Amino acid sequence: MMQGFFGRTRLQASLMAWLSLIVVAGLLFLQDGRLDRLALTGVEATHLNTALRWTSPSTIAQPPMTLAAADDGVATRDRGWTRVDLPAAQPVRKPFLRQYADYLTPDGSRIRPVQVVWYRVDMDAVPGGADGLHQIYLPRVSTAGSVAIYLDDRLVWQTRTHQLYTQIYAPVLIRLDTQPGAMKGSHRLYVRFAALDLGGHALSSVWVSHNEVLGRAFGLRTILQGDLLSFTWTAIRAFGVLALAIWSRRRRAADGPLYLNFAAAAWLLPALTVADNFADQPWPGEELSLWVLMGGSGLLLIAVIQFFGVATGCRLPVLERVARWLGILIVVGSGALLVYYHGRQSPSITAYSLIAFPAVAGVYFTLYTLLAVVSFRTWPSVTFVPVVFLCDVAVAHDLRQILHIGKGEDLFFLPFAVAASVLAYFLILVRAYVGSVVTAERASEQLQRALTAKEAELALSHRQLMQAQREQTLSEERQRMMREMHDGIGASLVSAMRFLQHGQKDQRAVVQVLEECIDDLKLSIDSLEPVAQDLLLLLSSLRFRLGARLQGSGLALHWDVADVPALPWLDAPSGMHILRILQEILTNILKHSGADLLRLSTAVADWDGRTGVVVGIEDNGRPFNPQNGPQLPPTRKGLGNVLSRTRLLHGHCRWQDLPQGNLFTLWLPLGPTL
Amino acid sequence: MVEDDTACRHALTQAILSSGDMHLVWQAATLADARARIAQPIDVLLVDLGLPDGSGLDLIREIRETQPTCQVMVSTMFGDDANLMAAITAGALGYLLKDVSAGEVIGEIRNLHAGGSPINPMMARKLLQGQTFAPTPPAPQATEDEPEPDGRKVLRLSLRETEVLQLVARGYVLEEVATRMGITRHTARSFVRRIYQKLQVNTRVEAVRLAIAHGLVPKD
Repeated sequence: MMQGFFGRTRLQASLMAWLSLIVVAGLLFLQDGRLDRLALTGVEATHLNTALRWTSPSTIAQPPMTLAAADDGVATRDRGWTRVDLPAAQPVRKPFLRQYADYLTPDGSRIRPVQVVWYRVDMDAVPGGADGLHQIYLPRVSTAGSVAIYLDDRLVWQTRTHQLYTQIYAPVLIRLDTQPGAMKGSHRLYVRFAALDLGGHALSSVWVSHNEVLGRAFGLRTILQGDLLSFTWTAIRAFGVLALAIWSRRRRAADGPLYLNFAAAAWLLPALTVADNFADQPWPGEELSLWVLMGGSGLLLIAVIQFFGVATGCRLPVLERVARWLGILIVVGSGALLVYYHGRQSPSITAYSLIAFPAVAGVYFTLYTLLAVVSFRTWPSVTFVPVVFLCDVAVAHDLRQILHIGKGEDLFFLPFAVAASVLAYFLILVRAYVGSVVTAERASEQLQRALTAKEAELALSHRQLMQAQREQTLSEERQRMMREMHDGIGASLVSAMRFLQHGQKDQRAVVQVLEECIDDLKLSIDSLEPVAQDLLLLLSSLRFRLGARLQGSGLALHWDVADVPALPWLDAPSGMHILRILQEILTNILKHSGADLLRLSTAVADWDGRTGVVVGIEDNGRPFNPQNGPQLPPTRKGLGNVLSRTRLLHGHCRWQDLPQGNLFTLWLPLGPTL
Repeated sequence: MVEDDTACRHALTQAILSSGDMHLVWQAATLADARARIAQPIDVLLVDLGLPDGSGLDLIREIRETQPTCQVMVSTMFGDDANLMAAITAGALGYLLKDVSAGEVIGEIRNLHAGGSPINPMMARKLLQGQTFAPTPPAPQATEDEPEPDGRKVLRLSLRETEVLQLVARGYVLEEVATRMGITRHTARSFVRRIYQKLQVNTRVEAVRLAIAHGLVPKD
């Protein structure tokens, strides 16, 4: 579901557009004090819309402790008051900034005095209630200086500091804690603004009541202008930590910079508001807060443009690089400016730059975004358009408020614009995260499917391979058996049959042929036994089969085998070859040599530098050496078989004449045959 | 004697009759035939394993129960089949190759009756593969079958018995084995018989299981 919602950037773009529209419409609807009027509908409260204004000759910023103690005698003054409608404002006048700069000379002496302006609100008896006036609520008092509020003669509220360049925009709620009935009748409310004369100020309308109902409007304003923003920042900071954690695991990923960027912005933006709390602290408190405000806009510019690029895929590399340098310039430049002018007591530059630096960053980002959207025309980039639009509207609106142009009971727009921007950030971040999770899931699903397919394929080819292997083994075995039948048993049986067919009555010869035939059969069967690379076991089966026949022929056999290493290549077919070779040699000796002593031995021996095993068969019969070509009878097919089988085993064989008899040697390699 | 091949049966009968001191009590060509006569007391039973109506193994087991003193000899074509080992596990004490001469038949039967048993290299090899050595000194009495910790019985051979098997597996015949070990041929044969007896167990299930454990019959 998440994926369905955030996955479609077109939806996201229209969502942001609607959200921006709703925010702007809502804020416009609530401006001009309508918020308070709505909040206080149907309660017993009096709304006061007129006041008297008097510009005092006093030049003292510090407000007097009582009205009677004022140096300008405001308490007793009746003339000079001008009637004004509330909310009233005196806008900043153009020369203000210059004047602000000239407020203090380098030696600290004042050039321009402070201007004090008084407002007087005459209140009739509060309707309803027996105890008279209890609560006073002013949605906004605003100036760059100090404000003090008096009821009749008494100081009931004042700003925290009296430094003249500290901006205040606070809503004010005054609760009168007096004896029951003491506040009956009519009263006079005085508001004292002490600021530079061109700096301007704004005073909202006044609400009074005999009970506690005004807290409702005050609370609402505090929530919308302060607490709501705090909540947003808290949430954003928490998400910032989350984003940082994700980034630490996805540093190399394509969406990695998004998370880092979000984390940085989440901690940088609230820092701007937090820094403001230190503005009235001694050096470097104020400079630091100003630097955070100005330099922060530079960092923000870099972050936002990078985020925009990564999130939307719309990147203008040259302008991005320019943005980076511009951001660094703002951070370093604003810091340097503050340090440079600190000793010179000439904050006019900072006053200009306080607006100028963020303005440059904002304008650049606006232009960059619009350019990117026009160049790429993709939905993700369009998402940013309403946000940028909202921010620009908010800046323009709030600047009017700050400069006291128009009437000052509006809510500030900028906090809402920031919250909307962060929401846009957040939506894109969630989309990136969900997108990567979904991609991973799809990839793993695909992988699983591919794996299953591959497994099936593998199983099939394995079956085919097994089948082929089985067929090949069968065919090899068939060929081997055919050869054995043909060369061995078959040949023997045929010669036995010929003996009988030709009517030869030599029964002994037939029996001998059949005995040989059975021997062949036994050796064939033995060759099927697993010999497990054991040459001696092979030789022992040969003896078991042929021993009785040798003995019967009066041939004494000396069995003289020594342990030899295992032959890794010795399997059933090669075992058969060895058995046939030795059988041929033994039969030969038996039939032709006339020997009466036979010795079979084994040993480890080298042949041409290669290690191997030799089987030696020594007899004491007539000299016989088939290697001497001419002596080789043409009918002796068996010896040819010995040579060819030896070659198949990659071995060597040799006949040697001994002083008394012959020695046949069969050498077999120890290592695997090629 | 139980033998389904007429020529073979005839040759064996002739050999036994010609011995002079042996008496052929009965002969049969089928398992059913043999079962009908199994009650008659005999000294030696010569049995072919592959009978037309069943396996000679069953007959061996039955006669081991009814006549424990009867010595069973298996008649085999080549002396190498796995059934031969199964037969020894079931209670046979020797085997006879079908192609040997009449004189050798008599000799083998006498040997068996005198307490000796034949063995060939392949059998020696199989026995060596399936055994473990007794941890105690090689006293023949101390080498009974004992269950292993996992419940599996293994063939425990003494060092002398093992030596006999090793020499046989390397191709030496029993005379040479005896010479090399400094014992008589008869003693060497009795070693083999003792090995056979160790292989033998009482129940059929155990016999089969033990034979499988020793790799004498295929698992399926």
